[in-house]
Amino acid sequence: MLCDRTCPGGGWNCGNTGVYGAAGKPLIGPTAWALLALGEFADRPSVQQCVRQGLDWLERASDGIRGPGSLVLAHLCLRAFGRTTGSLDSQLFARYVEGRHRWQIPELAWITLALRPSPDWLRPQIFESL
Amino acid sequence: MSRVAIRQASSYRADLREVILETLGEFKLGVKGKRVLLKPNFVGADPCGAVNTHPALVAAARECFLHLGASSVLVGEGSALERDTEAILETIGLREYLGPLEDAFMDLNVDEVRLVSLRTRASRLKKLYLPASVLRADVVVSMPKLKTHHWAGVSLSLKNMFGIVPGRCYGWPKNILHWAGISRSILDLNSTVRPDFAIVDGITGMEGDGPLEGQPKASGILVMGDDPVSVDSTCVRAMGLLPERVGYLERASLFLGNLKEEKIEQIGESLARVTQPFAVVPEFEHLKAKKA
Repeated sequence: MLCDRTCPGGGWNCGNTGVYGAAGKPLIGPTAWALLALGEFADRPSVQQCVRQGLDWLERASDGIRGPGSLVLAHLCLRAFGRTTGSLDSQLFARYVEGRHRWQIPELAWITLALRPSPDWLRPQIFESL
Repeated sequence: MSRVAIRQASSYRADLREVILETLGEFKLGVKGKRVLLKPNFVGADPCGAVNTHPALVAAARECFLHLGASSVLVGEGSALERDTEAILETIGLREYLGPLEDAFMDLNVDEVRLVSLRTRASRLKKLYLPASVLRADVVVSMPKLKTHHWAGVSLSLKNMFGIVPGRCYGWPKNILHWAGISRSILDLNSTVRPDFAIVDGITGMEGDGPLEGQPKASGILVMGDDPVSVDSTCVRAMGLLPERVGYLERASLFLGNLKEEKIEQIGESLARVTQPFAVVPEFEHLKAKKA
């Protein structure tokens, strides 16, 4: 279903690939979550294309990200897939320290994950140490 | 009898505060000491400036209600598509117009909620969780964009109330309302939280495949009033469409307000002067008034 609901050109939104002939526009959050969910299946031929398109779109869109929550999710996702995070690191740090936004609990949790030295939270072994 | 004001405003740089203040004076909307909630239509990315209620208008309205003695004026929205509300606020530049948002803006998608029995049974919904900020408000002001809509025909002050339904409870894009029927849900929501006032941003509206993919339409008007059905009906006429053919408006006129022209006293600009035909998607061609 996730691959079926890919927006034309890559990425995901709420699930609308198009309405009345207009292509659905992807959003950062749903794209990052869908990619993370598909991560372990990314080698499957049926999944490869939508993952690659989604990552390409996310990478292209990352320069224009305006919200801190989206910024963190994009960072988490691109890093998990070994893609370049470009200016996201400095943007993320700047937004975190400038205190302009009211960070909510989910965003704080995500940023804690994002600022880890390595994305080991993606590997199930991490839970064995708890 | 209801009253609707049509005011001309050529751009968002106009003195919108004066226009709104003068109009509010004519309606004698008692807001002194009351909690006011402004509900704009903030959707997200808006390259043409035709998707979101313009922040200049929202800021002007907020100043007016504070000037008139409201104890608080909160701007509240719960976008149906974008979960990252901060991204929307950054995109539209709300801080540049409103200042710090800590006490001025509430994300209705994640507000505290209460379970409310809906006052009508047009849909099968019966009950909905609604944001406490909306339920606590003494005066709710719907501030939509003047738009056509590919599923509802038009999106104005009544449809705009979809944005009070919290995403935290119902997900995005709030499909519970779509599954229960857009028109029916509009009726149930507005019978339960009927806007006390409406200020429609028609300075730049949207025609065609609204609410997202249409084309900007510079109508240069603000439409205001204390009967949302009358305000929306007047907007529809100003778009060159027939309000009695918009299903939910026709039904809303049975219990929420006045639709018929003879029951609406027009103040400000005349309809004939400001009417500009709006394009609609083929499914809503029947809304168009026949050419004389």
